[in-house]
Amino acid sequence: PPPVPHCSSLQKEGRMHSWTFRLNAIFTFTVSALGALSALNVLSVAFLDPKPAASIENVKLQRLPGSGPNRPNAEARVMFDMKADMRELFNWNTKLVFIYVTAEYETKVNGLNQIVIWDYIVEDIKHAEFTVGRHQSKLLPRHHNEYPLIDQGRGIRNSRGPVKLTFNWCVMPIVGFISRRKEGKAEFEFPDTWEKLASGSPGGTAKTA
Amino acid sequence: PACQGKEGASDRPGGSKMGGMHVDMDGQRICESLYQVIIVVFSTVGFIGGYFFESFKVTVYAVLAGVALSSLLCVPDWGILRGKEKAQWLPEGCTTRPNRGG
Repeated sequence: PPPVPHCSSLQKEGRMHSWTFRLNAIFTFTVSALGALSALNVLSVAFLDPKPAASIENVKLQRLPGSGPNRPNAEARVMFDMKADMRELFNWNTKLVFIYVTAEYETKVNGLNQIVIWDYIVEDIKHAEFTVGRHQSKLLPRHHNEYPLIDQGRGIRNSRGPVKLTFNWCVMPIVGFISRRKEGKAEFEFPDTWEKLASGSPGGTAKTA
Repeated sequence: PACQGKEGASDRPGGSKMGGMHVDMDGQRICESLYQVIIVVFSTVGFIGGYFFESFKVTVYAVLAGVALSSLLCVPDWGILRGKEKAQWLPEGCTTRPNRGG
């Protein structure tokens, strides 16, 4: 067997004792420590199941300018009153919460249509409780969007069943997997003629869930 | 002696060929324990603090503070860390351990 050296020449020359060696050792140890802390962070909140509270009422449709029989895809603007409380979702592993409202319905062309009509990014717990619509007292801070209801298959007038407004939320953590959940909140019937749409009514009672 | 060879480099300070100031083996060992203990202690305190303040920022800042303290204590070549005893190296050219009791 080959003889075992008594000491490495690196150690003898002092190369293993230089400040660069110690700096590197500290850095790698820190990375391991941060990894362990992140894993413990995830474990400390992984088994909770927080649920936000939200309600949508008073759905009103508004005809978009320019829409009509010549431009049948662009259907309407959907307006509603909404109250939401997302504060339970914020723990020390939450980076931000992405909220969006979709209109879901079934047509002959597509089995399921999901159109996003409203979204909002909540960055901290201070802005996690808010009201939108008639009773809105202050504007939402940045990152808030509204979109028109644009029907891809041009069949929303003859949809099978009512149009459901669904409240979706996405929690983006600091460490871990993104979670995405949803809950249906309101329903309405899309009016089957342009005249009914122009008059502003959803063409049926808007039921709230 | 088990082998004949040139006289070892134990007479040079730190045994270094580079001529600079270096920490010797004992100092290095102390440093290694020191930074590990410091960073683990700061990590633990930071984790508990972060849990109670509901903010992971607190934890990360605590770890970084531990890194800063460890770097200050361990990285530069402080004179204290250099031991008084110079390491006794085997003479150059020797590659086998001396026999026990021999």
